[in-house]
Amino acid sequence: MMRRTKKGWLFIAPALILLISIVGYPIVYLLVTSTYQYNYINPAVPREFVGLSNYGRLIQDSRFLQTSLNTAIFTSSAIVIEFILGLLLATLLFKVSRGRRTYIALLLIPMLMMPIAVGLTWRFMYNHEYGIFSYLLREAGLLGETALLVNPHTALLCIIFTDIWEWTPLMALILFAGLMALPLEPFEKAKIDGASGWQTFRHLTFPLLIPSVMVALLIRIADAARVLDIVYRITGGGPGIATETAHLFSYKIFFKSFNVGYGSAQIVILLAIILVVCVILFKVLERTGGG
Amino acid sequence: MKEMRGVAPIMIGLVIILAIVVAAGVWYATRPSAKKVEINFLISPVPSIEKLVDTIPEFEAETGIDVTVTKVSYDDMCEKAALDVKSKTGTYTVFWVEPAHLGRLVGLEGLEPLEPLAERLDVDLTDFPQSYLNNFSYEGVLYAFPFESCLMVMAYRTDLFDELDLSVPTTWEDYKEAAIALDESGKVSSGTSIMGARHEALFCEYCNFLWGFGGSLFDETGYPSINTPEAVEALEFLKSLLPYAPAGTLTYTWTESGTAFIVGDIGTEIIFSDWTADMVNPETSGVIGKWAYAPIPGTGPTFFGGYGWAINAYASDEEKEAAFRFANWATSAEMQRRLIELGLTPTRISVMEDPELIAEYFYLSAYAETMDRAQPVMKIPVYFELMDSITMHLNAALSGIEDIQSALNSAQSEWEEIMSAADLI
Repeated sequence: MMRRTKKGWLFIAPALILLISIVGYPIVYLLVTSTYQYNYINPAVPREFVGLSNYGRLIQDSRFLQTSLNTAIFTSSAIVIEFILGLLLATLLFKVSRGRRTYIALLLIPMLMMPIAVGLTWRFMYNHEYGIFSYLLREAGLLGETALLVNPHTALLCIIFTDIWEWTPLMALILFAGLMALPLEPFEKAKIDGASGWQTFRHLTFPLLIPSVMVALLIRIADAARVLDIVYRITGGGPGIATETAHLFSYKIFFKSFNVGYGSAQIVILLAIILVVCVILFKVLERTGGG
Repeated sequence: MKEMRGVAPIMIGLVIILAIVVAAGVWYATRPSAKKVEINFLISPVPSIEKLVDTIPEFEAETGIDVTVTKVSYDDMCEKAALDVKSKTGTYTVFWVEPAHLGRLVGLEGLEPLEPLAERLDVDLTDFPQSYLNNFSYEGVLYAFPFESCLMVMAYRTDLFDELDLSVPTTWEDYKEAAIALDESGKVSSGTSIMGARHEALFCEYCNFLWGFGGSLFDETGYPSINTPEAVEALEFLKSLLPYAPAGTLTYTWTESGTAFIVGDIGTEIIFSDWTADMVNPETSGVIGKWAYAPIPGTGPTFFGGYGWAINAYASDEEKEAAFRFANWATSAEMQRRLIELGLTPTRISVMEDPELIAEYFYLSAYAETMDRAQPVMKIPVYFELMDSITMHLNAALSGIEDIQSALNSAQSEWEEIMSAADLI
């Protein structure tokens, strides 16, 4: 048995070494860097160990707090809507058999586009004077004189809407795969027992689908919390910092200021938050038997 | 052992393929033609540069130097240049630099001083105005060949000014009155346009107003002074133009604002002169024969957005010399005469003052009137941080998220913090 275990370790050793070097090392480096005052390109700023002071500064940084709040609002709103729409789409896909492949192919289009291109395209569509989206809203009497991207509330809504457009299909496809993998017997029994459609969904389909739901949520939460590209292209974080997300702020700290120490501390905090959310989801997944 | 017999030929085959690939790579890199000098030119595409790029084969044929062009967005270009000189790899040989970029790149010892090379290669730089050479110098050392003046000027619709009997504004109050009259005439979608997005463009535009109202970014000791009464007045004035600008103007960068003018939707606006290429191009312009430039109202300094070609200090000596020849060729009087047709704002005295060209290209006289007032915004290593901070607050103030005084106060505190951390104050 011992020999088998050793052999097993031997086989996974190359993959483990690779994983440690490409995932473990950067994380350790990030943690170390976050305790330094370190500007990558400014020789006037000496590289010095500052302990936890970068973290102390962050907690008092109103911009960091505001961008974190923006990220939380963006992530929770986008994920909830994507989940509801995704479930609806998945159920529709499950019900139809004719042309299903075509629908799936069409669903893939938004998520195959580069987020930066998606951002640029939607930026033009939201343009108050020339954009088709603003034009349609205006024609429908839903848009007044204030441009969508000028009002802080509607600007954030635009970012959320774009994310929903791009990523609902992913949610739908994962849930659809989950629906396809469900066993047939319980549903046949429910039918014999005279369960209604809603009862079947509530007491059978959804509970059995929970592992797929958790996987979809896990992937999307981790992804949405790191949103950068579409915000960068659509609003650049404006008006003011109304749509600036935590990762856009980090990007600016890293690539405008090259303030690596402070930026690393910020990334560590964001990483920790995402990790906690993911661990909670994993626990739920385990409890529901999907782990 | 039996299993190994099946795997061994595959492994040997893979090793042979790998060896062939490596050998081919080594041969490719060391083949005789690869020993030609190669330079890598990092740019962000604008019409005049695109045209310059089209003519590069002529330079290659003439000199035997290979020129690779890397085109990226403006923001990416700034990042790549900084990372390249920091890593000392010399990946890019020729950089696009603006006076505001010099502080960061020179601070990293990443740019090659030009004068020693000019002396060695016997190149005369006196055809460039001294003020331009100063703009591209840092602490008295010249680092870039001025390629494009890229001045900020006032563009206006001559047809509508004539029709509405408006005179060309010379003061800010005149400018606002013209914007109101144009807006109310209904002959254009909006009287004026502002580059109001949270973007570098807003900072460039605001500087003209700030300086025009007597304010400045720094006081005489170099300390930030961006929340003075003059700065507040300038921003209040800029905000007062919003009702006469497109509703989406606070999402406009130079791209949207310039485009709105060239399609004929705007009566007058402050614009970068490198838009001339699109204004004179029948394929892109809806205002041909209906527009002109004039100096920005007032008598204060105006924003100098010029850019030039600098050489990477971490390139090899051979590459530096080739890069110098290329930059000299790209900014030669002959090249400027060719590019002027596309709207290039020339940087050589012999071209700027050529009476034939002045007679042929009507916009050159506005350039000449503006040139003396144009000044670079700042040349310090933390330009990008300062710019990001102030554009965020300017945009918030114009959007009504912050009031003007507190927005400028916040920007002032952030500038103090950034400059203090960089040991600049």
